[in-house]
Amino acid sequence: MAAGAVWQIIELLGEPRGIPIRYTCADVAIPKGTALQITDPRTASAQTGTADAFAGVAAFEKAVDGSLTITAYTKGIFLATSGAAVTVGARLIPATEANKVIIADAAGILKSCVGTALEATAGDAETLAIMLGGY
Amino acid sequence: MADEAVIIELLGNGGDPVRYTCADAAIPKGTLLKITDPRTAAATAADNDPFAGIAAFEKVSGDGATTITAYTHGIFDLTDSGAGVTAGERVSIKSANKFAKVAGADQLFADVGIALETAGAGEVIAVLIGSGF
Repeated sequence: MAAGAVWQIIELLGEPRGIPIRYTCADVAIPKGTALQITDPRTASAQTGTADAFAGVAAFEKAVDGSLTITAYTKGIFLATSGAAVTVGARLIPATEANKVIIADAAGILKSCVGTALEATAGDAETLAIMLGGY
Repeated sequence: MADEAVIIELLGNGGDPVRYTCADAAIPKGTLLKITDPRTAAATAADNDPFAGIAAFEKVSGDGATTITAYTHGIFDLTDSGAGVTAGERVSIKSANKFAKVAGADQLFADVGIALETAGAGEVIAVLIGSGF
């Protein structure tokens, strides 16, 4: 299955909007809207697998430009892509493919979850609205 | 008391402070607080104390005040209880002012937050609280 599209902002919540957090990152390309994972120490990179711990959504495009930080939105409603069927209200974790989400399992919920599904999907590659940082 | 939290960055509206009732006891600034009934905060002391926030100011014993403000959103330096934790894992209260990696049963209580760094035993690391992830 293919990676999901980068996430689109539906609504940024909190003040300042989206509660942006600054992370260290490698000097690599990270498109705006990429789902990010947290690695040690306080470092963000693109999510690539289902065991990844969620860090936020890339607020800006990061080019290979020498900069070593990236800003992530941590609160808001975003349009994401599911990797399998999702029930509305379910807590979500990263899927196997980048930028996709699936329902959290017992192991995944012990890590930082992506957020809460505001819509249901029937299977892979469907878009849905998700709430980050709501509760 | 020891191992109080240290502010790295307050998020939201100045750390999204919440006012709780409390006993007229000494509570140092940076103390990890637990919630008790009704909407009353006290210093954490034991495994799985339900997290309420981080004391925003020092509360002096005997000053007559019976409320305390707690930060509920931000990034703080917190102390690991001894078992260590991996960056990205959820953490909960283990003992006074100390956290441990969340275990299955701990999910029934309010978490402290998410480890932003990997901690060795007893190490102080940055923890994101109140993100809602």
